[in-house]
Amino acid sequence: MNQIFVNKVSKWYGDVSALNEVSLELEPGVLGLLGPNGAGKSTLLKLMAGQLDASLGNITVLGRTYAQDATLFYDIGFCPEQDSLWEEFSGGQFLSAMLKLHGWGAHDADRRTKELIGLFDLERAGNRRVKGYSKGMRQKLRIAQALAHNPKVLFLDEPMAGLDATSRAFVADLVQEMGEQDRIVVISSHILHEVESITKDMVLINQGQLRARGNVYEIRELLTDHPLQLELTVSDPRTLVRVCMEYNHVVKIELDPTDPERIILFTQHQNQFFKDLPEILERGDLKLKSLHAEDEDMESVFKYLVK
Amino acid sequence: MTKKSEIYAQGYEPWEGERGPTDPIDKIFRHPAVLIGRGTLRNVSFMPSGCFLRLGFFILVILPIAGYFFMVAISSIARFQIENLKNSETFGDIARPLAELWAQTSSETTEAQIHLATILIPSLTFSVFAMIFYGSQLISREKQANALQVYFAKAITRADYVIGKFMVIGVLTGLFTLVPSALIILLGLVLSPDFVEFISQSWYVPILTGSYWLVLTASFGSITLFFSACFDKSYMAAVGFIGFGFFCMVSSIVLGALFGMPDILTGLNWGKGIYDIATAIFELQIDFGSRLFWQLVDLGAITLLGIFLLFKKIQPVEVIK
Repeated sequence: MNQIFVNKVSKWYGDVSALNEVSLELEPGVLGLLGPNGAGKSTLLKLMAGQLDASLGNITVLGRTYAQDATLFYDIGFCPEQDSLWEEFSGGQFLSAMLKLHGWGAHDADRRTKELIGLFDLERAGNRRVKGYSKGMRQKLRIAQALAHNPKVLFLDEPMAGLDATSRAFVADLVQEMGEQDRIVVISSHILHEVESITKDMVLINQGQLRARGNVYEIRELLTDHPLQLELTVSDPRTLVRVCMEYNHVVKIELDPTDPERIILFTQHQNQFFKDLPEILERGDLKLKSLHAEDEDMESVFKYLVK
Repeated sequence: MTKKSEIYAQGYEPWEGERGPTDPIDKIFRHPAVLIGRGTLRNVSFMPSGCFLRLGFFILVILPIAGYFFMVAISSIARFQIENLKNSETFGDIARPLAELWAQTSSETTEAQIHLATILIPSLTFSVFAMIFYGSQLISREKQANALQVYFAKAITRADYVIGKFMVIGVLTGLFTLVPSALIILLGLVLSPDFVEFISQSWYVPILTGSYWLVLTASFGSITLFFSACFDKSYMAAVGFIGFGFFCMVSSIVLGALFGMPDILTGLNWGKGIYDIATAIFELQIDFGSRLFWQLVDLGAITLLGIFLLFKKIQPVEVIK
């Protein structure tokens, strides 16, 4: 049963509600967990990783719960957001110790540690104490310990923080590959393009509530309160305005005072608009010179949702 | 950075190694509590950084401990070889009065009492310092580094974690109880003029020392670890430990002054309680009496309360009970 079920989960810290009745179903692949700081991403991730107990609701990981079966921890990897390393250890000692805590024997743990040190380009620092590591090296070590033991489920909380461009590309590549290997990978971030480059499957969370789930286009479709903004340059903008007003999904049209050929159009159903666009152009006998979706990227969707 | 093709050539195929322990010894060494204990011991910063602090550490810590072990060794050698030393030309003048003194007291002194006199005060003193400087770091440093999150993403329980920490406390207190006691016994076995006599007098001493070590580890450990779990700054944990010791001592004195000194209150004086219990252990005091009984009850209550609160403070995992 290679799935995660989050069933109406709520979490309170005293009087503060961190999550409110969140339900989610996760299949193998990479899922991006997006939201601004304090949205509840880390809380949800910690709940799924068995770090916290839900105040209400329940979570099943691979058909099991942490309370019933502690060996479930053998199958998960967790990379926390905050710094979480044994400072007096060398990088190699730390990875080896973490593998042993997962039940690995000394020989296998040492062999695997050498692989990981090479994998994450930590050879030169492998024997140095962790307290002398740079932020990027520490981040690499955190990610390495999370995936060292071949977990079936991987939770990565802001894994790109502190990494340089090369390392980001490497981690993105690694995460994508793990998702393709029938593993469930959940990656949280508040930096949208990072996640967008890894996966199209996203969950948007804000103020402890699940706001949307799907790829960027599906999520956009859900946002009927926040119309998609399109910039069109056509041969006769006034005719386009007249024709478009007959379509219900077009909610607003503005003429651009700086460019007489350009209009800004707002539609609530982008897919329907793109289906109807050829008909609109034909009816008005118009020539489309350019079309640009102003807010089709994740950043604008995200901005809408957290407003 | 390794290329993608190389990464996957190294393999993310399912791990086929041995997960479970292969033999009973392996089972002990691979138990999560032992792994936590070993990891913690490695992670403790024993040596301060900086020239002056290191010099201070050497003068205030290393020298007294080395001096103590040296004195234990020398006094034991002298005791076991007193007859030979008495007749020696070099040490005869010093050894003869000591031999007379020893002859007067040895008939009334058991081997256990010698151990008590040798290790009790130094072990209490050194252990208090060990708790202040090292015991206070054991959880607080991990809290400060958020290492608990990584620990508890593995298949370990809070009990494993706490037992692992107690093991480290046990190592620290054992250094000042079990090690000097073992040194005395080892020297006795090698140097005692009558091997059988020595065995017959001291066979039970390791049991007594072990019992004292357990009392010291449990009581010091529970309080130190509780304060260490309360703060992410180890100096705050150390202050908490010292403060609690003073609070117990002062409250027992104040309450005693207010209400007379019923036995139930004497037990609140934590350090005195350990001292009296250790003395009772080494003197094989079977009849505890009311005062010692209440000391045991109070110390047990403080220890259990410390362990209970410690479990409460170990976060973030709440799911594994």
